[in-house]
Amino acid sequence: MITRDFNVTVAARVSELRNLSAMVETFGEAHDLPPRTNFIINLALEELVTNTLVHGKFEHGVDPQIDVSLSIHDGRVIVVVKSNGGKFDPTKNTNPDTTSELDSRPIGGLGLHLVKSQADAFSYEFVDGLNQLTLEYKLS
Amino acid sequence: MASKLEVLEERESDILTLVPVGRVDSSNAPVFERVLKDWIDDGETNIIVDFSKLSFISSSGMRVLLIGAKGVRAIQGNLILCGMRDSIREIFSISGFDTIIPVVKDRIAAVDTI
Repeated sequence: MITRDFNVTVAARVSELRNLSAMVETFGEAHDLPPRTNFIINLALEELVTNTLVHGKFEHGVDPQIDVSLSIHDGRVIVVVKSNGGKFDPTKNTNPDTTSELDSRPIGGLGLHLVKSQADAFSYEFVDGLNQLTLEYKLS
Repeated sequence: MASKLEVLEERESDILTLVPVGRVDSSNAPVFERVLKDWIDDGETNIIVDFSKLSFISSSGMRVLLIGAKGVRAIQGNLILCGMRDSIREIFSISGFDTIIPVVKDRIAAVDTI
């Protein structure tokens, strides 16, 4: 059963993060999602949008855009994020150092690690010239 | 241009407590970084960051705390985090940040840690 799905296309700008967050809140309320699920979806979108802005390779004249859809299938929240920032497969990213001492701990590289750690499934495809990430979160 | 961030500042003897309000994400993390850095540059050695009014933080905000922790370490100071809701506590655990920056339950425990 698919009910009350959300889909939005936004310009890839940090100023859009608040709008995405509001969308997740509305989706969460419509489906009575637990606060933790709302939080980790919000975090995933924030990290993925930021990552696209920092690492996306946008061709000259192409407006950076991100398309986000949220739905629920078979007891899972499905989040699909498409972006036009040049081919980038984050599933191949190596995990950051999370164990070294304070003085030697690198600053950065953490966002994708959090997204991957918290998703129950995380996959990547390059479809029709767009990066497409699919994240799944079990509703228990 | 960075979005706004309200950071309440409270002092009790030689301990400064910073209370960021709302969200810290990539749009306003630079504001948080400037506030924290200014205090450390002024020689503030005992800083508590109270998360009790914070509903959301991303890796951009966590990065600021890592920079802050390194900054106070350099002047033999303490940076203590407290008052985290469960969702935020979880990402500090996943990142391993809680093994290098002290995270305690509340401000009373934070003062005791200093």
